Amino acid sequence: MVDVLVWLTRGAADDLAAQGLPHPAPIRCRGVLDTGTDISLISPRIRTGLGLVRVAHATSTTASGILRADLYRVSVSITDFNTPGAPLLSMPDLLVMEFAAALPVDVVIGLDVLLTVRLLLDGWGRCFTLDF
Amino acid sequence: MNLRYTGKTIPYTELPPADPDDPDGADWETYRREVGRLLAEGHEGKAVLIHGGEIVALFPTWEEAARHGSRHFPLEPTLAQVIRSQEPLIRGPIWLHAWHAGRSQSKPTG
Repeated sequence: MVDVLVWLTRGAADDLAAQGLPHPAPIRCRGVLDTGTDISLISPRIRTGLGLVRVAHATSTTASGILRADLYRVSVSITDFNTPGAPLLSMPDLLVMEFAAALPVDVVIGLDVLLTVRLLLDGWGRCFTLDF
Repeated sequence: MNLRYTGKTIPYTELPPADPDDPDGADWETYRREVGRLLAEGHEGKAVLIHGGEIVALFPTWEEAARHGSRHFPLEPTLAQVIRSQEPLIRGPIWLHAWHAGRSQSKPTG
């Protein structure tokens, strides 16, 4: 589990400002790392909270066939809310899918993010490290 | 785009249809209907921007199409799609199919 800050991309925030529209505050939430997915995902709470609209579609393969999924653009930062000054692993413009499954987290961090860092798993110590 | 692909593809003729309950499915259905014509006209590799079920314009890159969409249709869903004869597949989480059960699906090739 990781702490995650999700917000609009800079471009989306600038577009809203140019239209004289307010933009939402960043959302602090919990996320989980999943090396079994090539793409990161957000919950419906994040999508509605940030007022995200679909920008593209992806065609995704699953165990039971092919499905079409909406894609949204977000800024995602992974950090540790309990450690003041903790470093931020920031992905300022990430295309993500939405999940509707009942999960205790709002973000699933996939290989699109994890392959940009070094993920060290200490199984005996029951902890992991993101080196970036 | 930050998307990673599996290496598998499906032909454009086998793109899955929009969910009948999806209020924004018209854009995807427009793409499915028009992609054959766009390919025949030599637009493979370009990006098409669709909004409200209508093609807005073609762009050299996906990024330009997406940017145009967010600038001109803020807070409205748009569809920026690279025109391809073979649509690449993304590997989603294995649990994803469970909540998509019942939606129309097709089988990959390649």
